[in-house]
Formats: sequence, C-alpha cells, structure tokens
Amino acid sequence: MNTVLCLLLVLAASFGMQAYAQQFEYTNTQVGEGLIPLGYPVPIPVDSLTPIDGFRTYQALHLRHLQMSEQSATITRAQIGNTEYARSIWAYTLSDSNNHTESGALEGAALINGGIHAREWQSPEAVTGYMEYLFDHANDNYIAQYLLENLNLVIVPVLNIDGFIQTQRFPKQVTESATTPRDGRMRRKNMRDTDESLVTAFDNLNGVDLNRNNAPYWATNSQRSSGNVSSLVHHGSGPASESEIQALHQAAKLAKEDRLRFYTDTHSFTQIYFTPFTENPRRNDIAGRVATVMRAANNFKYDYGPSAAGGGIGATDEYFANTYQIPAYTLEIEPKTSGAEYGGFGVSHDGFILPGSEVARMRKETTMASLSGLYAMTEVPVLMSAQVWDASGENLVLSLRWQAESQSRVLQTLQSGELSSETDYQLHLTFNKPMRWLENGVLAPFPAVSEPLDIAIKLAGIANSSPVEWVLDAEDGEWRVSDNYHRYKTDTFVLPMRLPSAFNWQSHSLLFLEIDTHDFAGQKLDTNPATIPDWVDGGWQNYEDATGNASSDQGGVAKAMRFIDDGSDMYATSPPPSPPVTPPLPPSADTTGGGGSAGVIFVLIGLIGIWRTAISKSYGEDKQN
Amino acid sequence: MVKLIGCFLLCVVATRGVAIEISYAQLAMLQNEGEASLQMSALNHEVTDIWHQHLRLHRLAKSEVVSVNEQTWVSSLLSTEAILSVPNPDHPNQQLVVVDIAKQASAVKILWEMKSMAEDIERQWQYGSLDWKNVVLHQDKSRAMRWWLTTISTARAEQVAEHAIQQGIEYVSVNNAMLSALIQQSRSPVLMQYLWANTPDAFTYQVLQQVPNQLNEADAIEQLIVASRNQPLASQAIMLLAKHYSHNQKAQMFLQSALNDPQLQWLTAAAVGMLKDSQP
Ligand SMILES: [Zn+2]
Repeated sequence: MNTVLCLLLVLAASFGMQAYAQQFEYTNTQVGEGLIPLGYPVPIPVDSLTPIDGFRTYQALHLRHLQMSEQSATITRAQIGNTEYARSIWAYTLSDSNNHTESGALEGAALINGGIHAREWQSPEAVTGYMEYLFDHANDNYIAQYLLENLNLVIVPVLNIDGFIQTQRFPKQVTESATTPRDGRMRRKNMRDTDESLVTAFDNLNGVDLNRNNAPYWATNSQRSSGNVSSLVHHGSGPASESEIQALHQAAKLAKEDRLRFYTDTHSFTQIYFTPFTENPRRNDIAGRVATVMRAANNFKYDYGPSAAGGGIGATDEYFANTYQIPAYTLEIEPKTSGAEYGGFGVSHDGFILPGSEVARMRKETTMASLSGLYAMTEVPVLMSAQVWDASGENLVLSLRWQAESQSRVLQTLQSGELSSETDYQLHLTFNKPMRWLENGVLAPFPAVSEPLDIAIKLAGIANSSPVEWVLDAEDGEWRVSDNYHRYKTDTFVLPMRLPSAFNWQSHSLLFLEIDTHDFAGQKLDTNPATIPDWVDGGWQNYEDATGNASSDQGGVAKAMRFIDDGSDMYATSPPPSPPVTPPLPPSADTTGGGGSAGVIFVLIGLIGIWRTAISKSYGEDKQN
Repeated sequence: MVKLIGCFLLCVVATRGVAIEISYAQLAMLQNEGEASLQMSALNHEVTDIWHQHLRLHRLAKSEVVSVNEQTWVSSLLSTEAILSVPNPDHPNQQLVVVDIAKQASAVKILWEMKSMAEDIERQWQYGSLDWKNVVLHQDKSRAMRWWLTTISTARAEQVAEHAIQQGIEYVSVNNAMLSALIQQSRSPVLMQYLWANTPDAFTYQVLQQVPNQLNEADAIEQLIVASRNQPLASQAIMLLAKHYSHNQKAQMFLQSALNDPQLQWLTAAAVGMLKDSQP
C-alpha cells in the first residue's frame, strides 16, 4: 500500500477536504501498485438470459425473470416498490391460480429474498436458479409441480438493485483499502446519499445496511449496527426507513401475511444457515428441523447457526421470525472461509467473489436445498387413500379416500369388498405429496433424514374380541416413480399382499391400516386426516400425533384408514398391558406364549413374510418405528 | 528503517502465529498509521507483528528481485496460524478473516514461481523453442503463460497467437483457458472461432462478453453471430447484438431470422422486445 497516499487521504479527510478515493483493482495473477491478485479470473457480469457458469448482469437477470413470467402460467410478477434511485423492485409469485392444496387445505406462503447486500453476487443467481428450476420443471410430476400446486411462493430476486448495479458497474474496482475494501465491487449497502462514481471519496461509504434496518431489534446492538452513516452496518434513521425494506414488507403482503410459514434472506458467504430463535419453542424446533432438511440436500456441507431469542441486530430474518412466528433464515452461500477453497489466494473479502466456474454448481446446490425446505413446510404428509386390488390389477376390492369438504375431510368408501385369506392382492397407498427423494429420477436416501424403505405397514384391528395384527413386509413394495403414481412421483406405495389362512374377514369387528412412515423431510404422518393441518402461531395445527395431540408438531402412525369400523375412538387409551410386551422373537414356526388373553403369540406365516401377532396391548397404542 | 529490519528478524523467529480478532477501529489504525509510528501505538505487539508480516509479503509479491533470505522467510510462514479477523458484518457470532499470513505467503510463492516460469517462456519465445504441448498440458506453466501474455505488447501477442495457430493448435484449440488468454491479448479471430465451437465454460462467457469492447463493429457482429450457433452461448450473443448493434443492418437481419428460429425465438424476443423498458 502507498503509505504516503494513505496519510494524505487521512489528512484530507480530517481537514474536511474533498478527497479523491484511492482505487484498487482485483486481478487474477497480475501484481502491482493497487492491484489485488485473487488467484482465479475475476468474473465480470455477463449478458445472458440463460443460466451460465458465471454471473449475469442485472439487466439479463431481470429480462430472464420477465421472460419466465410471460411464458409461464404459474409465474406472475408484481412491483413491490422502488429503490432509492427510483428503480422498480419486483417480486414474482410462483404458484398455480387456486389457493388450495390438492388435499384440500388452504395454501401456505413462503417468501425468499435475494440481493439485499450488493456485493453478495451468489444471492441473485441462487434465487433466480430457484425460479428457473420451477419454470423448467413445472410439469415434472414431482417436487417442482408439487410446490407450484400446493404453495404460494414469492421470490424477490434482487432487493438492493441500486447497490447490485453499482457493484456490477465496477466488477473489479474497490476503494478504501485492500484489507477492508468498500464501494465498487465491495459495496454492501444501498445507495442512499451516494453517487455512482468511485472517484469522489466523500460519499463512497454512505448508504444504509438494509439488513440492519428492521424491527424488532433495530439499533439495539451498538457492536453490530451503527448510527454512523459511513459504517458498513449503518442502520438508517429508523426501522424500515429504507424504501427497499418497505418493498420487502410489500412482498410479504403479496404472499399474504397470515399465510406465511417460511422466509429466507439469501446472502454470501460463510456457508451456513443462521436462524434467530424466538420465545416460541415449537417454532424454534421446526426451524431447526427444516434447517436440517435444507442441509441434508447437500450432505451437510452447510452449517447451522441458531441464535438466542430476545436480541438481535436488526436483520430481516429477525423481523420475519418475530413478526410472523415462522421459520426464518439467513442463508449464507459458499464459500465457508475464502476463495482459497477454489484454488485462490484467500485474500481478504475474496469469499464475495465466487469464481465463475463454480456458479452453475452453486446454483444447483442451493436450489435443491431451498426446494427441500419449502417441501417440508408446504404440507405435512397425509395418507389420503388406500386401495386393494385383486391380483390381476383389474378389479378393485376395497377403496377408501379422504375427501375434503370445506374445513375438514371425510373418509369416503368408494369400493367395499371383503378380503379373503390365502389370496393375492395389491395394496395401493397414496399420500398427499411426493414421499421420497429422487436422484436423477431414481429413489435415493435423503442423507441422514430418510431412506426409501422407511415404511412399516400392518393391518390391525379386533377379531373375536381380541386385538390382532397382520404385518406386511414393506420390502416387497415399491414407491411408484415412473407410472401408476397418483399425482406426484413417489406419492404412491404399492405392496403385494396375501393374508394367511388364519385371517377371517367376518371375525373382525375392526380392521384398519397401520402405516408408519414419513415424508423425505422426516415428517411423520398426520394421524387424523379428518382435521386439516395448517400453520398457526408458530406451529402446525391439526397435525395430530399418536395420542391425538393436535399441537405437538410430531405426527405419528396413521391408523385412521378403517376398512371395518366399529366407531371406536382412534386415540382411546390402552388397557394396562399384561404381561409386559417383549420384543418380537426371531421368526419361528412354533406358536409360543401362554394361553388366553395374557399370552403373547408369534406366528410365522411363511409365504410372503406376513406375520400374525396377537398383541397384548390395544390397537390404539402408538408403535413408532 | 532500522526498526523495520529489527522487526523482520523478530518475525522470522516468531512464525507459529496466532489468530486474533481485532475491531474495525484497530484495523483502521493499522491501515492508516505509518509503519514506524505503529511500533509505538497502543496495539498488541502480536497484532502489529502480523500486520508487518502482511505488509512485507505484500511488497515481496511485487518484487522483481528476491533474495535467498526473503525466500526462506516466506517459506517459514507457510504453516503459520497468524490471522487477523474482524467481526463478520453479516452475523454476530462470525469473524471475517482480513489477514491470513500462511495463505498470503503461499500466494507470494506461487506468484514467484509463476514469474520464474514466465521468464523461461520469454526465453523460449526469443529462441524460437516454445513448445505449446508442454505449456498447455502443464497446469503451472499454463498459468505462467497466461500471465506472461498480460505483460507483453499487443503486437507481440499477435505473433504469439499466430505461433499457437501454426505450431500448437492441436493443444491450444481444446483449452478454453489458453484460448481466452491468447484472444484477450491478440484478438485473433481464428482463435475465437475455436473458442466458440468448444463446449463453453466460464472462460468462454467472459471472452464473449468483451467482444463488443474489443473488436470493431463489423468484426464483433460476425463473431457474435458465429457464437450464437453454440446453444449455451446463444442468449449472450443475441443479447449483445441487440444491446450494442440494433442499429446495424446485418445485426438486424440476423435478429430477424433468430425470431423465426424456434430454438432462439424466445431469447431473441426477450432481448429485443424488452430491452427498451428494462434499462437499469
Ligand atoms: Zn449479506
């Protein structure tokens, strides 16, 4: 650094003179006065509408957004406000035209914000990537279509347009110093009281940090937010004083505030999901679980950083978490520490300059993660229908389906036959959403969260006044991926079924399906589909667990699909077990256990691995896997 | 000056280093004060030591002549943990590293090696023994070549590009990084044709973006039209044509035909039709 020039600048500043800012330039490997080599090519923004390995200009991104909204029936745009420089700020709604889900619930809403900090170029590319994925895959019969049909997603691709354009006007230049570069490519704040020139130094540091301009913790942390207009974290003159933040509030209205259940503000870098906790433990718990889902999508290369309730820095995630009691995140896109992760020199602030060659991959990874989080929050999983077909697959024997009627659902019997023993059937279970993760169209584990065959299926009930179970071997079944699914790939599980000779339809006073599974986000089934779940006050309402608790956010084993219904209470408490339950023994051909009601009986039925177990506990008890 | 030399001796000894978080005010103090006065400032001496190492490495990266002692000193820093960080403005509990001595030392070594290889390349060029295969297939030499190209005159770069076409096209034509370095300095239309025909990568988009600034109107339009035939480049080529050359008859005719090409239709319509009202 030129020490003499620095001293002159300090002197000039202290005498209130108009100073001309020293400029620095990022290079690949060129060295010299005022040059900062990064060790990889410094990306300049590119005029391409289509996604490329590189960063697009604001103009190209904007044209791309326009083009998608004009060419798609499920993408609409709305102006939500203006920037300091009077540029229009746009939000895009990605959703079908109706406001109810395919399973009869009222659609929830999600808001994703991009480009709040100008220099964080990863952000507009990432959120545009989400839009492009949903645009390209609108009819994929899988996650994209599921989200479009069942969620109202609002995306603001670039909030701080003035600042973003300023960084793109100077893709290699910065001022101040090489160690703490400001303005030009390293502008963070909006352009309040700032001109677009780097040469005039007096205003280069001005502007408001839009991520400090928010209630409820506006200006409450003097370490991380400042009243000084030249501070990197200047909080502005009051909460939401900036037109860009007012536009963000408008975007929440567009999404419908009372329907909001997810917010993410998209930043870079440090490769982590931050989330502020609130005083609501249910909300905090769900925010943590959904963070796990988003991290799992990329094998946990992203970290997780919750922060304690009761304080903050004036960030937008705090505003959304506390105002709406919804999971709200600050996503910091890669890299974790610096450009050295891509072979660069690791100079100060180079994490804001992702090499162009990493952009397409980054876009894809952040897309998969965000769509997974949205998937978890769109709906909890519900077993919507069960059908039993004969072996030929041509004759329907039994068919039950939950049908939505205004605020609730009714179980409708569409076909009522009887099941016979020693007869081959096919059981079709259909859920309200895709239930499994697909990688290149093939069933795959969702890392550390779910496995394709995480499903246990039984027929259970009362026969001759005693509780009975007929365990089906789920390993013989399959999630439908290429055909025979209901609406979405993996929303249907098909299982061959053969009941043993001991099975007698007529002897049952109660016969129901007992399904223990979860969606690929790890959420267990809603145990009472009659009451339609919704997101209310920071938790799921009507998402009943094993005991019928409608506000535990846990779900449980589904037992509501009754082929023979005795009208008994699904959640009736169990009689005291006698004797205590012992773990199932290894398969044996012998009948074991004592006589009468006290005996525990294990019967192996060879054939297709169906087990008949006379259990000592009531059918009403939850038996989670 | 005496003080500085004293510090350097000290620094050679103390190479293990520590990670220290400092405030923005302290960092400003380091940046604004002269080196001599820094010695007397109230800052922790470990902080000022790291800052001096940082400044010296910064100077050494630019030096033309490097002594053995300096080389030894830089090598001694490769595994130091000396780091200065400031609070990360994005989050209360994170730091932003602003000085990382080991990484900086490693960068200085890489830059020195690169320059030394570039000197070899310069000699080979002068003696007519430049071997493109050897350069292109060797990652470090390739980087040195690309750097060397930024240091020579346009006239020489044109000769080098011609040499590449005559002597090394087999290797150069399939390497987008080398093609783009040669094109940036020589603006060779022949090499551009190779680049547009390859599978595009980050290098291709960067070179294409600069075509309107680097070529005259007629040449630029011709190159953009060729590039538009490679599908991943089509949108960029068309948008650049619409943005810079919508007044030109040849460009207009091309855009007209693109509007009737099912593959290019929507990108062309978006670029031409919406360009007017989307000027930032
Ligand atoms: Zn940020």
